[in-house]
Amino acid sequence: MLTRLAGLLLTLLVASVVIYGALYLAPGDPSTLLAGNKATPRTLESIREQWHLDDPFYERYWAWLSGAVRGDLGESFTYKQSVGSLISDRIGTTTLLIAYAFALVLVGGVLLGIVGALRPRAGAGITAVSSVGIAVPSYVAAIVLITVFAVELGWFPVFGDGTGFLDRLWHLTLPAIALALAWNAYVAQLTKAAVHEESLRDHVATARSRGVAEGAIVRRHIVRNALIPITTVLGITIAGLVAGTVVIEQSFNLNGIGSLLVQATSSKDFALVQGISLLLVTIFVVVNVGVDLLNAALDPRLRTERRP
Amino acid sequence: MHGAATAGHREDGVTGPAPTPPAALLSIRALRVDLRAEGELRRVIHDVTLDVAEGESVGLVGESGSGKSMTARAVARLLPEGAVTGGEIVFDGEPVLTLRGAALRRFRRGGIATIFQDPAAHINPVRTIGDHLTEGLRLVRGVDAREAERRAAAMLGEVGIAGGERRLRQHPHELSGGMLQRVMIASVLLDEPRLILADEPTTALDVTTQSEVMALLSELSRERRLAMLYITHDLELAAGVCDRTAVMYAGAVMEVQRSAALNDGPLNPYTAALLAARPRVDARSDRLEAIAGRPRSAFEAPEGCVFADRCPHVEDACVAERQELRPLAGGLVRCRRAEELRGRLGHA
Amino acid sequence: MTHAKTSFLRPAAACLAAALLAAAGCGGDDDGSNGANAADSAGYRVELTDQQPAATKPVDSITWALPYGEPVTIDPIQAGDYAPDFMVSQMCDFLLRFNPKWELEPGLAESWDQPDDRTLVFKIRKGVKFWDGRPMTVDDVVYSLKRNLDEDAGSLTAPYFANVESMEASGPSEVTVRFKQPDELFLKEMAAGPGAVVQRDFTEKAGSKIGTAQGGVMCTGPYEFESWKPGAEIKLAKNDDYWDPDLQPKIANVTVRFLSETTTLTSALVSGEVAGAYGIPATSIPALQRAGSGTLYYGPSTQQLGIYTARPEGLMADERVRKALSLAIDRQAIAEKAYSGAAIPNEAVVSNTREQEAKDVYAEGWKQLPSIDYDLDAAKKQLDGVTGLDKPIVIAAPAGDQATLDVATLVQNAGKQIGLNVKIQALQPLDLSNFYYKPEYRKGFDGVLSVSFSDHPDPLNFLPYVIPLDAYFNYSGWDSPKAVRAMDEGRRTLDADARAKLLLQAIQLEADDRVTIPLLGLANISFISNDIGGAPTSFAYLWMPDFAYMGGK
Ligand SMILES: Nc1ncnc2c1ncn2[C@@H]1O[C@H](COP(=O)(O)OP(=O)(O)O)[C@@H](O)[C@H]1O
Ligand SMILES: [Mg+2]
Repeated sequence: MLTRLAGLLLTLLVASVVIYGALYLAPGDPSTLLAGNKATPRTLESIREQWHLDDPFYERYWAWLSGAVRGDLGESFTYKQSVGSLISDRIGTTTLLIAYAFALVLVGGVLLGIVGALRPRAGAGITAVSSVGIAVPSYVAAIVLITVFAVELGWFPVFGDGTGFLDRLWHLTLPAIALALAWNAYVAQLTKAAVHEESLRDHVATARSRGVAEGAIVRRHIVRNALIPITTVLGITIAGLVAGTVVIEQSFNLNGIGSLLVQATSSKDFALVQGISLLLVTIFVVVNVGVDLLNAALDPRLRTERRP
Repeated sequence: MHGAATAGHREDGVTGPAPTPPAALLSIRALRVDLRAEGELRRVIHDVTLDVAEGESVGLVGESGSGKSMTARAVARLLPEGAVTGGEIVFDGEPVLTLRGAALRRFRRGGIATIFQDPAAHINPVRTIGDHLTEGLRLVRGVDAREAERRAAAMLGEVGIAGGERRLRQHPHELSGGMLQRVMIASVLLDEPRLILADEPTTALDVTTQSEVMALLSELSRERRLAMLYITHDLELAAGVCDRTAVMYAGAVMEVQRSAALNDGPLNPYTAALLAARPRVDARSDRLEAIAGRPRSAFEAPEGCVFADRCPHVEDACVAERQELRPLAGGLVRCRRAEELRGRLGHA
Repeated sequence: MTHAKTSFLRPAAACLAAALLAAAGCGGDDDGSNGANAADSAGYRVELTDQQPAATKPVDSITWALPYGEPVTIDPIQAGDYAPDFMVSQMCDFLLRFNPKWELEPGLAESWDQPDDRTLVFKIRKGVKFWDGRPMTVDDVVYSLKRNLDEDAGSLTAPYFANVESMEASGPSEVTVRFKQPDELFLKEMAAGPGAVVQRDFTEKAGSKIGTAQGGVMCTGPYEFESWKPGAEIKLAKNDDYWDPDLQPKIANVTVRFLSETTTLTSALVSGEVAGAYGIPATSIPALQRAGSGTLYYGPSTQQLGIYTARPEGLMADERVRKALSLAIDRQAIAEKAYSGAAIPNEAVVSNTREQEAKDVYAEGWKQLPSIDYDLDAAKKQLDGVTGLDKPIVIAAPAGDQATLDVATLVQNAGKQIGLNVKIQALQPLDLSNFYYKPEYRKGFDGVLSVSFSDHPDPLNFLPYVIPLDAYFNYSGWDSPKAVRAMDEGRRTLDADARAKLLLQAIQLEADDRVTIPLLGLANISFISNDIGGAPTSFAYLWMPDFAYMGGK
């Protein structure tokens, strides 16, 4: 665990240099965007000075890093607000959106995949539907969902994240569906394939030949073993959902981390891009470690090395 | 799912007197199996007829692809999805091929247990040895967990695995192949069957382990007076363990005799060829190098006698008509020229 | 309801083209007769409206959409774009006020006087309170005016104060501004951001946080800044103590939501989730026309779209190429295709708003401008003898603005007709803002397609950004001392007709050289829910306290 933590810190350090460096090297002077239209050279100059935009890379990076190790991620120059508070204000919405979408993937992807693998007739339909699901980009799904369920039927709001838990769920329903759709389909197909593959294993035939009831076989031998590839897929799915929020939050005008990142990147807001990127890197690393741990828990073959 | 048995009883020449003892525990009659492959049906068994009596061990020998495993799977009702069967299998007086639903589950619970060739594949790799051993007891017979574990640990001792309690917590990948096959045998014995289908139980093991495991299996089954259908490509091995031996080629049984008699006086040219090509210790192979051509599966076998295209004694008539299994010299044989060739066959 | 019915002179040919495209539109508009009753809508095919009929019922709360996205600030002196300008106008009062026809009315100054042409005296209204209850003083007014000069605080408005000599309190409720030379522009800007009054104490305490989400502002306007959730919305509450008895706010709470995603904005308007928006993207017009939730309004506007030359070199630096491209463009068709008729061909670098003083002078002057009629033969003739035409003409366009990108494609096709290889490159906001400010970012570009607007229809507001050699939009090195002189003289000339003549000279000189290729004048497009009335719909909305005019129907 300690090596993993060190690994995470190293990853974060490297990522922070790379991201900061990339932003530094990317063309574009953010002071012009910050100033608005028709600013005088003097105004631009004072903005550049105030935000140290002309300082050399190592000075700026060092200033950022020495703040970061003290827990101060700096100040966003577009919002003139601390990066920490900008992120913490939004993390709830994004987390809830991802959790919601993930729950949908568990139900719609994993369950459908299992059913599809075990009931060949349902399986064909699920394959067809999920092929469509995978092909539809999430922003298209968003437009269709908004048009049908928000504009035409008026069941859900067009935009925004709501207040209070139930209201937020209500607001996040369409976004979560749009976000989950492609992943649902992807997970359903892979789950179906994994479960199907496991159902053909010889040990399943062994259990069957011993007269074990079909339900117990499905639980103890088919689904149980398929959980290993499914866990890996779900790990990828979480990462994908996190990345997907960038598009979905914009489509539904949700005030979350994804839309903030887009905003920050497009205005070259160093501290903000850095803060969000590192948060995302952390999430990816943690999900990865989580998947590893879960897989080790699920598959004894992966834990032998550490056995005495 | 399994196609309705189309063929009824085939009376011709099958229900002769000896060597079939009257009260057969398992009786296979004119079994036919078609498997679905690439969208079409493909014949893999075209005529298997064989009996196993209570307490008797019968060897089923043939080259790879001849249909031995499919025969066993048909008996255990483990054929792949979409298989179509014909003929009849009767176990303990009950027709097996037509069983469905609750009756099928009841059939699988009682009486027949299978030992497979590759124990590593046939034991769930993510569950413990204990889970595998006790699964039948707990889930099928409702024995409580502690009692099941006690019995399992004791049975491990019987199959020669020490430290039973500890072993129960281990996972398959922590055991060697030989150990795993012992575990498989233990799990089969725990289910207290009346017939064991042993499908090449030692092929995947190294030579020394092979004989140990084989010895263990035959000893334990003899002790418990269990019937056994022992499947192998090794004619000699079968003869050493079994009371009677059946020889299969291209989905059909070519000959059945007492093991000793078969060895000395084969009735079918194919059996003779098998004996001649007996694997030597240095060059293990389940192909008969001594016979020209490669072994045929049922679906690619010739129209007439299935062995016609490779048989050194072939005549035009052999190619023209299908051969039936018929009694001869206390055994059964499928060959037009059996009488004629009798005594002239035998190992080189 | 005030309709924008202005007399309007158009070349008959353009009118014919419009008539062919859409039967409606050119009806009574023949040859500049004043057409007081004609539904001419100033040459637009669509009908122009500058304000909804008044509506006075109280409303609990509405959500309003801001299609331009989040404002970068709500500090009046830093406001230089649609979103910040609009937000400032809802919260802060200015010394003067525009009505929907951009006529000057009293604001925080209850009257103003010009004792001589270098002095302006504002009589400051008494009894006005900031939202926190503290009274507004002349000290606050002088402080606010002087902030405009503070470029280190990010002021964008300093140029409007270039001619100011002093700004002092000349009495307990009087402020006197003295000029180095007469300045007509100054007075008009007092009805926009530069004339805003903020509370001195609050602003000084907020320091660099002024105008940010956390810092906010402290003003006297009809709507009080309540909160700003960055990335999402700004909440306003009505000022119960608002000083103007004729403009008491009727909507208790307003949430201004940043909705820059066009599809989301459109859906939110169609579903009625937001009560309205100014600055609707033209691409949403068809969907909103069908919507039952509200009405699309087209208003007179100072917005115009043109192609600005990007550098002194390259093909577009050649006057003949610019003239050729200009003649090859069928503006009437573009107005229809890209803006669904909510645009008109534009002849000059500023828009012909026709909502202005000295109407007749401008009308006459506009007639003298070089023709912008679609004429491929004339266009090809321009290119006679021009070499190197195989080189591409690269034109930048804002990536997020679909209507402009549509125009870009049509311009590209126009170029093709006369053998010009026009390439379009869409630029993201950051790249575009760099493009505007820094020559090194304009390398490789020949032109930029850009929508610009003026605070008010007087060309004085926009000409300084195009005429001088070092002007913001003058990237071509066009140097016309004559035009600069005319413009400067115009700014010093307080008589409207005389000023118009001078400014027309500058406009004419610029147009004669086709420094920019003017394309379209753009109507102000608004969508307002069926429940809401009273809203200004002319582009004057930008600097008006719009929410205070709105009420329930
Ligand atoms: N799942 C299957 N689908 C189709 N054909 C199969 C399948 N399994 C085995 N076969 C074919 O059936 C024939 C008999 O196979 P099998 O009974 O496994 O032979 P043996 O056990 O004697 O080596 C072979 O020709 C083999 O290719
Ligand atoms: Mg086999």
